[in-house]
Amino acid sequence: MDGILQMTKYFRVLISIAKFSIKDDLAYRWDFISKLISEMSWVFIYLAFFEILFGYVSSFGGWEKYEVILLYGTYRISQQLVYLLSASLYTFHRLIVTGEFDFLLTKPIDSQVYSSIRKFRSVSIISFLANILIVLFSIERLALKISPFNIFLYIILVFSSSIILYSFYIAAATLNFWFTRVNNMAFLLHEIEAIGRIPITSFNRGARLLFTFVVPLVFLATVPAGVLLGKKMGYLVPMSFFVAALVTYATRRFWNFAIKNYTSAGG
Amino acid sequence: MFLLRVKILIIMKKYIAILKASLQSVVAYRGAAFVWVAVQFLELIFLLLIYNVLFEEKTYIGGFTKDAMVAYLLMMGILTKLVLWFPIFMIEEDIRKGDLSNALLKPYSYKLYVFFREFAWRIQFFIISIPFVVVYFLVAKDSLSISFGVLKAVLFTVSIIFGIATMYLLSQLFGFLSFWLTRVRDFNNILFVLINFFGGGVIPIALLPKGLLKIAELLPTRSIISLPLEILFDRLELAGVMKTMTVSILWIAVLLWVNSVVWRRGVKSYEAYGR
Repeated sequence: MDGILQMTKYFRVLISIAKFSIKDDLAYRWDFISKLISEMSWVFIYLAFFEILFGYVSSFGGWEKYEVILLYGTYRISQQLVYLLSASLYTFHRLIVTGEFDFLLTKPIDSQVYSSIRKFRSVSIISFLANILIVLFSIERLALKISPFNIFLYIILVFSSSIILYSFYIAAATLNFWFTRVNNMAFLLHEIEAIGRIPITSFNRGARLLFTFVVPLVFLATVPAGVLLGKKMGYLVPMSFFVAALVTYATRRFWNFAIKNYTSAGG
Repeated sequence: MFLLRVKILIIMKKYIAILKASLQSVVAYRGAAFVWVAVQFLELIFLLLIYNVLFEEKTYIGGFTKDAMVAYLLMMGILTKLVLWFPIFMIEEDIRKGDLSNALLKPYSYKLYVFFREFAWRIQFFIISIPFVVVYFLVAKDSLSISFGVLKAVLFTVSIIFGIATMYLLSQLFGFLSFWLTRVRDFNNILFVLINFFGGGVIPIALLPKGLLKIAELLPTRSIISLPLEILFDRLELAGVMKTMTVSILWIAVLLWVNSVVWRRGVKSYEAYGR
């Protein structure tokens, strides 16, 4: 019962923050438009990049053009889900440096949750929808017949990959408790996780092992997309849920350890 | 003549002092600078992973062998350390926070002030990049076969200077848009997209389809990364190099003029509170 009440509280806080953030974004219309153009231009460049490369090759490590595009769209869906709710982690270091985190700790809400959802990134709604269209377009181009079970599995695997991605970002933000002058850890992490936007199963054995068991990028997009495309993903499917649970637990412990040892900007 | 030399020395002394002070200040952020260099390193790894998979399908892609592509990407990785300058962030912050008000009162040019502050960051980035560059050379030494003559060396050096000038002026111009917009760093992302796609950052422009190649040849972004690499790897005849450099010079002239107009209009419209 307590858990349900907590979740309801967090949901109400999220809705309030979302309303405020959307109004704030629309008040500065040109900023919103420039953010949207910037966001869409990155999507354009990758789609155009693969379009051009597939003019020279017929497959990418066993993946056809629209399979690769579907995978890319899947990666962006997971990514935008995380950005939608946790984009404020990119600027988390400022809370530590300015001492504002001290006030955040006094709020009647879990510090990790509030640090994550402080700002709702409304441009990600449009990006999220655009990437769903990319996935649907790829399905149409491939003339895929997908079973309802695979669609359901795809959706929960996308949520699982969003949880894994979120855990990466919260871990990077937690490092700011010690490395206050390194304000760009999230960008480094973004470059690492961006490798997940291409089919990991097309790499050589060493890279596949690395991105499965050490840096679990294979679960970000390759596994969900593989399931939707009817590719044999085997043990990677249940492993995705296991990894999501494991990284959530590990990063939560890490966060709590950081809070225990936090001495504040003035301390 | 003597008085002119003394005047120049006095002026340069001011900016050297700014450079020294900026160098001391950026050293405090060496951790962040290291992360940015690591980010660029990872971008390169990402491209190498992609092309490695592609070259298992085909021996030649757009006239590039695997070795040639590896050499191109690794030299591109080194070149980006030299040519990518970002005054946009400093200018945006100065205007947004009102620090521009103080800077305008000082007895030096704000634009040169930003230039020397940015130069300090570039020096730090370059020093931090050295271990990564050593790794690049060790990885690419078997793929690299570059012939160097005097003419090529001169053209290559000049093309890098043009690249830096073009990048700097574009970034500065977007920074000046802060006079009217509250957030301009997204324009930096758009500039990156143009450099990566039309400037040889992610894909050599030789691989672009004919229509897009024509666009790339006309845009200023070609001179930032692609032109120096095309000279280095003999992908352009001398006539082509001269033509591209002429386009580059024209763009630099246009950008200088546009920057000047936008700066004057921006300063006229600039307001700051409490200063």
